[in-house]
Amino acid sequence: MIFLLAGMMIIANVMAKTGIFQWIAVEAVRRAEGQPYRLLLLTSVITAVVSAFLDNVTTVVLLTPITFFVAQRLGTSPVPFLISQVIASNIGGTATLIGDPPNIIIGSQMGKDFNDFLVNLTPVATAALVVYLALARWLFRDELRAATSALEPDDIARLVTEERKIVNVPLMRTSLAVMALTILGFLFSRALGLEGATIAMTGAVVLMIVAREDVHEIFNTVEWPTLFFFIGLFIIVGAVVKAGIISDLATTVLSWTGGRTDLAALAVLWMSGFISAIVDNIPYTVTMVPLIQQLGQSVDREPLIWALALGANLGGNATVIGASANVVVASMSEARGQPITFAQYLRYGVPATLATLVVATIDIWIRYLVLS
Amino acid sequence: MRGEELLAGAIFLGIYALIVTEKIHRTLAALLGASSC
Repeated sequence: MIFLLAGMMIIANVMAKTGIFQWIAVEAVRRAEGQPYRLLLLTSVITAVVSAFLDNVTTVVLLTPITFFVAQRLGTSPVPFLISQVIASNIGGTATLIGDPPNIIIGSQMGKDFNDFLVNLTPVATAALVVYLALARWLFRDELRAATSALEPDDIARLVTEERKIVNVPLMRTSLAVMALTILGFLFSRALGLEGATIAMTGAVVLMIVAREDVHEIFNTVEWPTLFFFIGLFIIVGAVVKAGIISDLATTVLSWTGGRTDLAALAVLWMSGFISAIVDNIPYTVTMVPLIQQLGQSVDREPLIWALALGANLGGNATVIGASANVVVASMSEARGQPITFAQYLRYGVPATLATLVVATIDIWIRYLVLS
Repeated sequence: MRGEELLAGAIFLGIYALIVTEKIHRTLAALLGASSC
């Protein structure tokens, strides 16, 4: 995780020097005709789709610079766009086996393959994204209103002629080639038996060698505070899990459901949502999998598995430290002089999480409890 | 509840409070927590 993040930061920082992110950002502004809500939709939907196939952290490391340019050119704060991107990334990651680490854990431990996730989670994740995007218009209404009328057609035309240019074409070709190979590596990581971190680090090192980059300059652009935050957080959460707090809590909650599948599924969903908002969802899922397997002996296992995946992934949206993508975006924003505070994030994160968990509740209720 | 759980839970809650209130930077809070685990 730490090296995956470091590797992707290096690749993204080399790519940023070519002007490619700026090019994409100007193109996005042009296509959305400078309208803030359309840009919010565009950046969120792209993030969600990319997150479904790539690690959320990789996705946001690559897309956050674009969002920054977009907001800058709109003359507005990037914070609402960034928060929306984080939420979209976590929802998009829910959709597939490879989208989010909890899904990879559930898939390998519970014997579920890519297609099982496609059938069971992609429809509900899509519905959750649509509900969230509708809610976003209301959630971010003040910010969007403030950004309106910022760009006239003339301004957009000027942006296109002045800023939509690649400053270093050879470097762009090299970095895009390395990026493409790295993404290919991620998609085949399980078949290759390699960790995401190994692939990302290899890509970063190869790029720095091929492009003859200055090691000091590039390493200075790595977000060390983010990496050290994760190191610290994983140790603390590891201690909480190892002491047995999470499994005790889960066992207590599940004992209240009295062996009923419907109650157990909904309890797993909401408990996972609540706990993942507070602790990282990776150690949480690792703890929950054996409990679900144990519980699956007395009730139907199927709804519980999908409830766990939905709760663990969607719950991460509630707080700024609920999931890895949140922390990465908040840190990147802070490094660019636009800190996202805990309270500020909570205002948007909690309503978005509640709304998407309600969508998940309806899905589980209908698909597994009414129809089966 | 065992002593181990109480201690880990107390450290976690304390660090979480530091992160939420943003009295100190969250990276420093997390590292402080990790060093007391």
